[in-house]
Amino acid sequence: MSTTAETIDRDVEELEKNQEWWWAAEKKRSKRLDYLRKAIWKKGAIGGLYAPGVKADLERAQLHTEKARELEFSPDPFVIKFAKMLAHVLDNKTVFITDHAQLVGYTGSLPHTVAWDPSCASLLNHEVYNDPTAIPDPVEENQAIIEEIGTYWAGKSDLDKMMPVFDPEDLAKMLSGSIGWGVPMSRGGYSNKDYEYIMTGKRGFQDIIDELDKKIDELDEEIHKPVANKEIAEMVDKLNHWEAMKITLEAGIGIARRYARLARITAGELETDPLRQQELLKIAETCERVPAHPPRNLQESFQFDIFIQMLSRTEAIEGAWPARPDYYHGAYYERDVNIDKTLTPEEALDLIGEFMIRAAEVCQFKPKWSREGLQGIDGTWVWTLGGVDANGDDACNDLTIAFMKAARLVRVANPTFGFRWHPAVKDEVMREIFECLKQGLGYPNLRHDPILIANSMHWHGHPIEEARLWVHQACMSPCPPTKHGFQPMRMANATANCAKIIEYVFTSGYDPIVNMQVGAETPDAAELTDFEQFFNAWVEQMKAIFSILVRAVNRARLLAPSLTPRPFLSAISERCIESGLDACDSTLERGNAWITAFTWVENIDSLAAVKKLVFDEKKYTLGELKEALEKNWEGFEQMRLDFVRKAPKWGNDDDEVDAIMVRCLREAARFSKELKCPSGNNWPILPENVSGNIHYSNIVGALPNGRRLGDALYDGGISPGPGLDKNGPTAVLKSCSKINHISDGRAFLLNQRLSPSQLSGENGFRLWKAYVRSWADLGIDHIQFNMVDDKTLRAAQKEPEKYQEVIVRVAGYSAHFVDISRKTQDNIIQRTIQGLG
Amino acid sequence: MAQCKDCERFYVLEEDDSRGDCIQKGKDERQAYFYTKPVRAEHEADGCDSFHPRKN
Amino acid sequence: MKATLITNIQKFSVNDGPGFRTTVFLKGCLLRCRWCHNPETISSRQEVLWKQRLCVECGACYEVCPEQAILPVNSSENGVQKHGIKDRIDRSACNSCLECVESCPQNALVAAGQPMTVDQTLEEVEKDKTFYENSGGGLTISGGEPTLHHRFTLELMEKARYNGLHVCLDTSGYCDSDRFRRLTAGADIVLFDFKLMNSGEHQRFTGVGNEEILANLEWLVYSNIETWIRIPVVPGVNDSGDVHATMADYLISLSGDIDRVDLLPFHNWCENKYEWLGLSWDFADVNSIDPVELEQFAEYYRAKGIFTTIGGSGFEVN
Repeated sequence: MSTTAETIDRDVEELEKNQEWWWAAEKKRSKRLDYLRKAIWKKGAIGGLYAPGVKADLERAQLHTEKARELEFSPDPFVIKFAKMLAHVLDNKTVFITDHAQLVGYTGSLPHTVAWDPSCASLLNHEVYNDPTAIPDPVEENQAIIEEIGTYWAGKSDLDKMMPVFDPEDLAKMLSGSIGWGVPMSRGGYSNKDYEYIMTGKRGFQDIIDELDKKIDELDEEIHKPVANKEIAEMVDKLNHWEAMKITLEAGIGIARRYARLARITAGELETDPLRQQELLKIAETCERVPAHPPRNLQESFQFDIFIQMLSRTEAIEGAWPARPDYYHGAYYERDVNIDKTLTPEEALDLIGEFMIRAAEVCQFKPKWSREGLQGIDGTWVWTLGGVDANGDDACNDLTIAFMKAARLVRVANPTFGFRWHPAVKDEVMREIFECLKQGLGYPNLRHDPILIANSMHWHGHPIEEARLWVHQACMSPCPPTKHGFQPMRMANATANCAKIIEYVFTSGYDPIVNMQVGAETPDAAELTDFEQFFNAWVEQMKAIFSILVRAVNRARLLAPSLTPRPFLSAISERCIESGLDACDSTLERGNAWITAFTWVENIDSLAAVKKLVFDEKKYTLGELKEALEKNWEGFEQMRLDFVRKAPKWGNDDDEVDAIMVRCLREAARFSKELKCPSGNNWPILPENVSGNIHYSNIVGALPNGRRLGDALYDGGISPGPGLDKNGPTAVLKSCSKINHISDGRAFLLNQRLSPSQLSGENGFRLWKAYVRSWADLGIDHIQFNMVDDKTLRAAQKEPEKYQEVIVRVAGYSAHFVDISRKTQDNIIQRTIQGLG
Repeated sequence: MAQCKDCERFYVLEEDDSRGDCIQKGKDERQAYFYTKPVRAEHEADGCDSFHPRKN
Repeated sequence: MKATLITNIQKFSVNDGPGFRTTVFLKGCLLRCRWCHNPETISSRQEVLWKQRLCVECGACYEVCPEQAILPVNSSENGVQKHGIKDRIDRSACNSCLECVESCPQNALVAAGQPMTVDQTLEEVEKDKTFYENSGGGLTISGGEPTLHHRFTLELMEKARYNGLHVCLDTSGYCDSDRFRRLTAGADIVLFDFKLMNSGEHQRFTGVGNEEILANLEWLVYSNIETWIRIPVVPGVNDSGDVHATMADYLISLSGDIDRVDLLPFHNWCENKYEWLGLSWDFADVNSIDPVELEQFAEYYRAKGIFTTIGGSGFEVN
């Protein structure tokens, strides 16, 4: 071992001891990965604005628009025109290969650009025009171009086409921003894929084209038979869709070949380093192979995947990244690293790390409300690791482990991992998960596989072999990546700001912030005489709000295949190849809908407070409470404090409050079976947040849990309100375990904080494993571990109210951090930084 | 009048000599990269900052 | 069944015996260890804690106190100054009626000690059964001194074990020997606090000599009851190599095996509790010991073949 390697090892050890994970990773990773990691242009918006230097990409918008103009009077059906627009973009856009990269593919033209699709929504085009920082130089000239593009698409964008479809009253309520999140359309949302068709190494794009050609020829023959039949319209429609699919596949092969050509020319004529020349030729070979043909090795497999994602994200704005990378790429890793040994594990890590980096840099220009809700990232890309195969056997493999090692080296904030835990997961895999958590990555989060498989079967009737293949469709909800199981576009719009449910009980459905009637016209709260009546009003409001959202999404879904088809997504989906229908057509999809329930727990704490202080102890009347809420608690501070402090809160293993949570969920679950998606399937709810708690804080008014307008809302999911879980982490899990995670809802997000000292050493691993086994025994479907770090503790010093539950530990003694003297707090923070706290 | 085909950055398509690629090296604050943009051989190059006459 | 004052039922205890445990702290102790980390457990009476950080000086407590033991708002002294500690309560006048606690809207006044029966306590402890089952954990009875409330402790232990719970008894060993034998017979593990060999020193720092304590320890070991020795290492009290050399020799000399020794580093995180009680604390300005500093002392025990930990984690494996 050379001295340099020894020095690096020592440095790394020192840095890791001091919990300086970023710097340790910097030293540990290869030169290539270090370069590529630092090459990333961070695309997440902060406060709704992109980082300095990041610019909107005008090239795609121009290419797309110029082709649209050309085809405006073409007699082709829309799906073919749209496919041609995409092909025109892919054939003519700038493509690049980053130095030291082995993988290629990006939706923008250059690394610092953010792809802008002008055909999605006019309001998005207005935002590009008005963006203070993201218009490239020369600003005036480019603004003129943006304006011209915007003018062309005014009235023609997808959203413009969708608007008339909605019920105007529903639309007004949704656009008010009080109860929902964004607008429903199929070219913006979360799209799962039929990975069982396209990622199992059985076919490449050329194989699909060949099959389409066959089907087209056969159907063409049918159509030309002497007997004219009434199915002709349907048949022509199929032909159109297949043609459109072919166009996109050919364009996909075409752009890959453009990358190959770039690589060959630079290798032959521009690159002087012989090693890099070899790498470029390898890239060329890879891009000539995929996506036309199925991959043969790990580099090709990753490249195939990236192309699919790139093409998909050229076709639509995708806000998630459903994937199961260890499952679908694992066989290639096994062959390259373990069997043929054409890659060393370190070389494989370079590829895996770069694969994550390619995902981390993806960005599509999104509307401001979406950027604000997703502080710092472009979307929630939760990759699914672990779990079982279709037979129920453990699916973890060496690539599962390698992904976690790579994650610790590249330390990107996105993608993150959701690990499908089951009882047969081996210790060596658990160790990797533990190491990621210890090193402050904040992921993987754990999903309870047996519970979620049963959940998928219960809510959506997926057969067990398909349910077992599930991936996270967005951040939480399982969806099988199978022929009839995959959901092509889950609209973010099916997201409810649930705090409004309890608010509307007091206002009879009138929203005091946006000043309009949104909810149900339930009786005057002051007139309700017992808790049952009160609870019934709550149920009515819940139904009203969910109905509005579901109606809107269903309407949009029904029209999606014709107004906003997805020929590329269809081209890689077996049911579409077979049927000639668009991927968004609901007739061949089993259905996997869910309503994301933001701000859910506020309802529980509020109902519990009302039950205790109004009906059990009769300390206040509903009339008094209604008045206090109307006045935003002003002049009622003593009363407000009672509702904060003297009422039981969720998350403390208190049977009374917990029973209210279960009751609320079961009412929603009952209603979920009445609401149907276009495929005829159920609409269960899924309590979680993104940054919804910040986004909605000025939209939700005063509530009976003591909240005032403007106060931050709770963390989300079924996590207790900040600082309100006073009985420790086990009590939180106990509360959560009273929910049945199979049938009471789709899934339930739970965040917990752990302290680094608990997790140190072998003891820490044993402790964590025992904790995870307990979590699993309690039948809870999700848990995300965040480490208490010095930042958390400093925040606790500033806002002790929110951090009352933070416990710090020293050998044998634990104390609530906020109770400790300032001087000692500072000391503890110092120790935490040093890994001693 | 200069045309793209006169530029050393222009790489003609074998199958169609009316078209080719403009290939350049780029560098921004974070990374260096090679990039390519399809162009017509006879596209006017007079206003192009990157035009470099080919030395024959 | 009579209720006993419990100051805390601490879930997710990971340093009080094996695995995840729930530790029940009983109020009342005959020792007066100068460094005590849980001063609210010393007196057997219910007491009131005043948390200055949360107090907004609204005067509600002053209004309701029947003994006029609370200083009015804006009093010229702004709190009774005792040994440099600000206190709102005249402790000598307070009768622990807890009216003030009821009245405080900020939860700045809190009762130390809630009366609970064995059944109530056990019900609370059993809530975390899943965690015990997955970690070899269970119930730890501590305090204060649990042997002081021997009937309660005995009944709790018996019922807990009957219900399948693993039980640890955390004791200073300062207890009548018959009673001690009866109580420890019902424990799976005894966590035995051990501070100093020298009885005079012991008296100086804890208020009592250690003859009875050592006698009880010797009996424990002789009876083959699983015993974990817990040694709080306190600056100026027992933080020298000689002390530990002597203790290690002593432990080895006993006619039976010590299952392990846990060295617990002194810390001053409990400073606030003394303030809440209106008490001064000898160790207020003493810095916490870095656990790493205990390695040198641990060596003495390890050299004698005793499994020794720093911190007493419930997840240590020999």
